[in-house]
Amino acid sequence: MIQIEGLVKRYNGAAAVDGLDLQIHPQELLVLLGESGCGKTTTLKMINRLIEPDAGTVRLDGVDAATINPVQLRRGIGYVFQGVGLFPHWTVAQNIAATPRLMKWEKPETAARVEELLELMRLPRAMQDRLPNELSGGQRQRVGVARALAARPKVMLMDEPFGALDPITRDELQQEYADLHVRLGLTSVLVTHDMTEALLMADRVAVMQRGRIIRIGTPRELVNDPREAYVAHLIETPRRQTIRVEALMRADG
Amino acid sequence: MNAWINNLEVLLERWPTLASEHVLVTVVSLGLGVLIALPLGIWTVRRPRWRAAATGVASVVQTVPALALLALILPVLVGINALLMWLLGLTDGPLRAIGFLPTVIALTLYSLLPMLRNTLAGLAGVDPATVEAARGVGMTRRQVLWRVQMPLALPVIVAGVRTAAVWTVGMATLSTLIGQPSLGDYIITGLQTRNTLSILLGVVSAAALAIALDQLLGLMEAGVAQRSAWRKAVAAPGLALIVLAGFTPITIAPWLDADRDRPDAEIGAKTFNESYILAHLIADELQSDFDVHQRVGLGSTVAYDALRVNELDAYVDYTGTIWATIMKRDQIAPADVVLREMTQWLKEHDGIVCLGSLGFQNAYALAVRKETAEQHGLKTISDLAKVSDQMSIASDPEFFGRAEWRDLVSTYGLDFQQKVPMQSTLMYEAIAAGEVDVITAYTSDGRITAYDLVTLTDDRHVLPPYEAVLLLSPEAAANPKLTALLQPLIGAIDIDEMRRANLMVDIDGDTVATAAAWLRDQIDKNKKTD
Repeated sequence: MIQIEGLVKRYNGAAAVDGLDLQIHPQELLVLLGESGCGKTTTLKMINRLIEPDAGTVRLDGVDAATINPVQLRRGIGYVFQGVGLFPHWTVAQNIAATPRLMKWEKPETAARVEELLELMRLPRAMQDRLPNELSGGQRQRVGVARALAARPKVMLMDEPFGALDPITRDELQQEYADLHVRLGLTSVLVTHDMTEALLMADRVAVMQRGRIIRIGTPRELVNDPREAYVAHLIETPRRQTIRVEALMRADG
Repeated sequence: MNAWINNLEVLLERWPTLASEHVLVTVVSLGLGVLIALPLGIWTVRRPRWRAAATGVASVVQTVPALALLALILPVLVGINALLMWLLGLTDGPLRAIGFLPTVIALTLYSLLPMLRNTLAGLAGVDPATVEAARGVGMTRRQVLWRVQMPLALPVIVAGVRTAAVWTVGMATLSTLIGQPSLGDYIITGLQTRNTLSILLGVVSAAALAIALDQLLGLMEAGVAQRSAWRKAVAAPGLALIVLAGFTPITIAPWLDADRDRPDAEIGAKTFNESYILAHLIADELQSDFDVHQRVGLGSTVAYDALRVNELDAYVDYTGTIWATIMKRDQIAPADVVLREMTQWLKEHDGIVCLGSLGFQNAYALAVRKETAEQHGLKTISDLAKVSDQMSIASDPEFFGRAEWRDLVSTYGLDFQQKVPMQSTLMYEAIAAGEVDVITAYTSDGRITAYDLVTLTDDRHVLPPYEAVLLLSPEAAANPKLTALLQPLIGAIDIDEMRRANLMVDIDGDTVATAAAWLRDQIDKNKKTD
């Protein structure tokens, strides 16, 4: 359970996140949705203190994150970066083993975990000695997710994890991750600007605008009752696309 | 061909010493440079104000010409010594103001800029997203630095070290001028004796060292970055070998002071042959009782400063030089007055003892061909003045700008048909070939004899005297054994002998040692006939 209350972050006086309240339930996949500059990534980074809030609290299972050593906090939370952020001078295996090594796991245990994750992310075992620049975009993203999962976190934070992928790979990874989320009993917060992705993956979607959440609900609730004009506008694109694709398929069939 | 091989053989005798000393100062300076520049770069990369200050200082150091930087370190060290002596109540300065220490300080300062700048650029060039990912997986700030930022910045940092290495090897050749032996000895003495082979040997050796260091550092970096075992396997022993070459028995011996039975004696020489020959002569005289070291090729006032603070024990200077540059006198006085006043002044001001004149002068003089002198009956400059309007004169360009030249012209009423500025080596050939009639020569120059020239007497005493005098440091002067050994040199060398000795090195291609030995034989012969 993640409880966020009155969270504020200002840059040069302007509020990027402006008194945000949010509760994320255990084992929920919550999507933070909004345009760039709405404060969704800033919010995500304040959960594991990559960014320190100016005001407000983040509680993880009732414990104020501000009281936890930030390094220990981050080792306990998986984080998938926008643009992956793999260490270019480390092999796939070294990248995946990053957090376990920082936590001083035994070597055989770490090695076993790397193999387990390669299998989980459907990456060939032979790939572990490659460097990131020798991989495709989809493979890099799989390694990024594997690295975040390595130390068996209960919470996963993901910043536009599938943004840079081609549509087929994106779809594949979205489904795989949604499965993993359930299978591993994770609590996931996923940031995206893609409403279709949000609707397809989320248990609940929180729509952000100007540093606040203007609407929160299940995909079904959002589609059926957008309430805010902005939310309705966001829903418009997937709705129109769906109708046209359906029409095409009907005409075909 | 044989002479050529002999020349090379003689030169190569000193090669292990010079190369080893060169490597030592290079490696120590680079090592210190890395130890300063890297932490400074790491520390200032996140502190813009300190970063600006650090790169600013390093840049300013870099704009100081290498030679000036070396020369500036010396008075600073002398000052620090004086301060330490005063603070700690010591009788002796704890720091050596010439040789290894000032060289390493100057080279280290010089190496800072490329390494500092590349460390900053390398760290700044690491993708911020990668740094954030490192924090995100739970690295501490230190772990981010050492596991991510430094490895990724390494190629750029190593490029800076490579630049610094090449610069340092090059600049170390100048350390000869402040009493640190290096491959520069070949270059500086080669320039002096017009020994092209010597210059080439110095240049090629230094260049080879620079290239080797650069390539090995590059190979090592590539080996680390590409996890290439063979690259590391070649580069690591190569680099180790170079470092070890700097710490051979030759370079270590002075530190261990192996020869404890005999006290040390440090003899200085400036950057010209006569100075080298006389230093060698002095060294030979002291050999029996002292462990003698020669510091040859010292910059002009470096030798004096070093003598004053007992870093040198003895060297030969000239009364006119001391008179003008140390005592800052500008009026001309007869030779005996200058010698007397200078001796007194040196004793009073710096505790330096002038043991006396060696017996000859190395002064400016006007010289003509023997036929010219006979044809016009020239013996003095006054004689020359009567016919100067029919003659041309050549001199090094500097002399035409000096007060001595203006005094000559005005006092004697000289009025030459033509004034030709010319490099001093060409001057002798020009007068021998009859292209000019008069030149300004140095009186002890061997080429006066070789080209059969006649020097004209300065009958109205316009040109300052440049008597060769043997100077002793305050400490050396207090050593009766040392003064007793050197006393026989006083008044022992006449101008013809000095010219002959200079000629041996300047023209005949003999070594300084040979010339010094010849001079010593002459002194012994003269004594027997006395």
